[in-house]
Amino acid sequence: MVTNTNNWARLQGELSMAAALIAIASLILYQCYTSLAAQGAASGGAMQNAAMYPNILATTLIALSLVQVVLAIKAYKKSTMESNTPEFEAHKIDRGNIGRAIACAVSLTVYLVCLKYVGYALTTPILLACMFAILGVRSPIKLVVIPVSITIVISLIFQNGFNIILPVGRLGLGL
Amino acid sequence: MYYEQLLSGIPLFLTPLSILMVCLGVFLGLVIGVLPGLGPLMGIVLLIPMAGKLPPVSGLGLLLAVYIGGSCGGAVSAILLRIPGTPMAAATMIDGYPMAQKGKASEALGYSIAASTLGGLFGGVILILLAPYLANLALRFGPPEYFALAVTGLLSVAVVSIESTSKGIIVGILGLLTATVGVDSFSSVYRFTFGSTSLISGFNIVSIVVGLFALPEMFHQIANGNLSVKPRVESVRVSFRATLDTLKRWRTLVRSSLIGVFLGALPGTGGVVAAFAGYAAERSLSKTPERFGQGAEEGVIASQAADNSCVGGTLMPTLVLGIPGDPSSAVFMGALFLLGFFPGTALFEKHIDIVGGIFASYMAANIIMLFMGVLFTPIFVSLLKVKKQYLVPIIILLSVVGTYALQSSVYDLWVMLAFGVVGYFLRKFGYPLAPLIIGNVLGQIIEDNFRRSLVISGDSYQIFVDRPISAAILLVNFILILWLITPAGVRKRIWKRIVRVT
Repeated sequence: MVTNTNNWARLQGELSMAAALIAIASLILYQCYTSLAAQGAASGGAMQNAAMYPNILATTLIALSLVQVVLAIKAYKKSTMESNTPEFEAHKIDRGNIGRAIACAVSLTVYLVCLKYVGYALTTPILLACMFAILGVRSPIKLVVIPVSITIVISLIFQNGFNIILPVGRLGLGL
Repeated sequence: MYYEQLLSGIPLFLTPLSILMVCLGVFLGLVIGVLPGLGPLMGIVLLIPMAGKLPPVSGLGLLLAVYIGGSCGGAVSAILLRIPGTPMAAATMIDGYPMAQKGKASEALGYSIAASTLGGLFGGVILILLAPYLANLALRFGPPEYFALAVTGLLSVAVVSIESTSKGIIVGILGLLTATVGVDSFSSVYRFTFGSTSLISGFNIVSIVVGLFALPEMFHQIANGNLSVKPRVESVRVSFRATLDTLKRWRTLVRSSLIGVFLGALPGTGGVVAAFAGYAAERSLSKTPERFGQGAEEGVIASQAADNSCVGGTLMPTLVLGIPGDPSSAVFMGALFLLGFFPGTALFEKHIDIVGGIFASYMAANIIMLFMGVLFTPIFVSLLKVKKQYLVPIIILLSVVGTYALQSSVYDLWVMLAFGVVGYFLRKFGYPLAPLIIGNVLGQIIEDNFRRSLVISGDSYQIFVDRPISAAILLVNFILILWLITPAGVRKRIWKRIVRVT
C-alpha cells in the first residue's frame, strides 16, 4: 500500500523540482535585466535584443513550472483521498547499492579534479581500481592488472589511433 | 539529373577505408546495442572523435553504421534476457522473449536481424526517392518556415513524452536555454557566461548527451544491484533461413516499414514510437491477435522492421531540412556540423556527392548488418555474460575519454558531470531526457530563424502567418499544443482509433 508518507515525499520532490526550475528561469531573467542590459542588448529590435528570446523562454518555463505545481498538488490530494485503496508496493531500496553508486560518483569527481594536475596515466588506473573495489572485486591481481591494461589499451586507441593527446598533468607523465 | 548526381557519391563510398568504417560501425553498433543502457546515441557520441579525423564519407558512414547496428542490436538482450538493450527493442521483447522461452531463441534472433535489414533497406529506398522532392519543397522555405518547423520538432518530442507532456515541454525549454549560453550570433554579446571564459563557447553537445544519458544510466545500473552476477544466457546459432522466412511474411514487412518511415520522417518521434506503432498495427490487423505476446513471429518482425526503417525516415528531415528526427539523428547532425557540412538544401546543391556517399553507406550498412548479425551473434551473446562490476566502470571511462577527446578540454568533462547531476534529478522526478538534447540542437536554429524573420519583417510577428507554408506549419503546432492539453484518457481513445484505421 502506498502510504501518505510516500505521497508527501513525492509531492515534496515535485515542488523542489519546480522551485529549482523557477530559480533557473529567475536567474536567466536577472541576467537579462542586469548583464545584458549593461551591454546594451536588452532592448531594441530583434537584431540588437539578445535578451528577447531567453526572456520568452524563461517566462514560459516559470509558467509551466507553476502548472506543474498545481498538477502535483492535485495528484497529491487525489492520492490521499484514495489512500485506502491498495496500490503497488513501494520499491525496496537497497541502501548498499545506492551507497556504491554514490561512492563511484565521488570517485569520478575526484578523478576529474586530479586529471588536470596529475594526468591520465596515473589517475585512470586508480579510478578503475577504486570503482572495481567499490563494486565488489576483491582479487588484488584483478584490481591491478585489469585497470592498468584497460588504461594502456584506451591510451593506444585514442593517442595512436585518433592522434588525441590525453592529459599529462603538471608532472608531464604520458603513455 | 538528381539521381545521376547522387551516383557521383558511390566512388566516395567504394574505398577500402569507407567500407572498413561501415563494417566497423555496424559491428560496434551491434555490440553497443546489445549492452543494456547504451544504445545507438551513445555509440555515435563515443565515435564522433574518430569520425572527425576521417574523410567525410568514411566518418559519416561510420556513425550511420553505428546508428543502424545499434537500432538492431538491442533485440539480442531483449530476446535472450528480457532486458531491452535499447528502448526500441522493448517492443521486440514482447514476442521475442516468449519465443526464446519456447526454445526458439535462434529463430527469434534470425527474424529480428532479417527484419531489421529488410526494413532498413526499405527505409533507404524511400529516403533516396523522396529526398529530392523534399529538398525542392525546402527551397521555398525561409526563416519563418524553418522557425515554425523547428518548433514542430520540439513540440513533437513533448507529445510522445510518456510520463507527462508538460514535463516534456519544460525539459525542451531547458534544452533551448542551454543553447543560449555563449556569444549571441546577432549582437556578439556574451550571454550567461558569468565572467567565465570557458562558458563563452557554450556547452558541447557531446558533453550534454554523455552527462545526461550515460552517467545516470551507469549509476542506475549500480543501484539496481546484481553486480557480480554472471547472467545465464543460452547459446544460440542463427541461420540465413530466417531471412527467407521473414520474406514470406512480406505484408508484415512492408506495412511495418511504411509505418516506420512515416513516423521517422516526423520530427520528434524516433525508433521507440515506430517500433511500438508497427507492433500495435500488426496485432490489430492480425486474424489471430491472441498469438501476440505469446511468441508470434509477426510481432518480432513488425517491431524490428518499423524500428530500422525509421532510421531512413529520420534522415530525411535531418539531411534535407536540418531538423533532427530523434536524439541520435540530432547528434549525427552535430557530427555533420563538426565536419563542416550544414544540412539543408545547400547540402544537396553543393555537396550532392557527399549525400550520395551517405546514402550508399546507409544501404551497405544494412546489408552488412545481416551478415554480421547472423555470423557474429555468438560473440554478441557472450558480451551479455560480462559482469556489471567490470562493464560499468569501463563504460564510464570510455564516456569520459570520448568526451575529452572532442576538444581536449577538461572543462567539457565538468559540463558532462554537471549534466549528469541534472540528468539524475530529471530522471528521478519523471522528466524525460530526450527533449533536452533536441532542444539544444534546435535551439540555435529556432532563435536564429525567429530573429532573422523579425529583422526581415521590421519586427512584425505578422510575417509568420502571412507566408502560407509557415502559417500551415504553425497550424500544425497549434493542433499539437491542443493535443498536449487534452486529458490523457481522451488522447488514448483518439490514438487507438488512429492505429485501427491505419
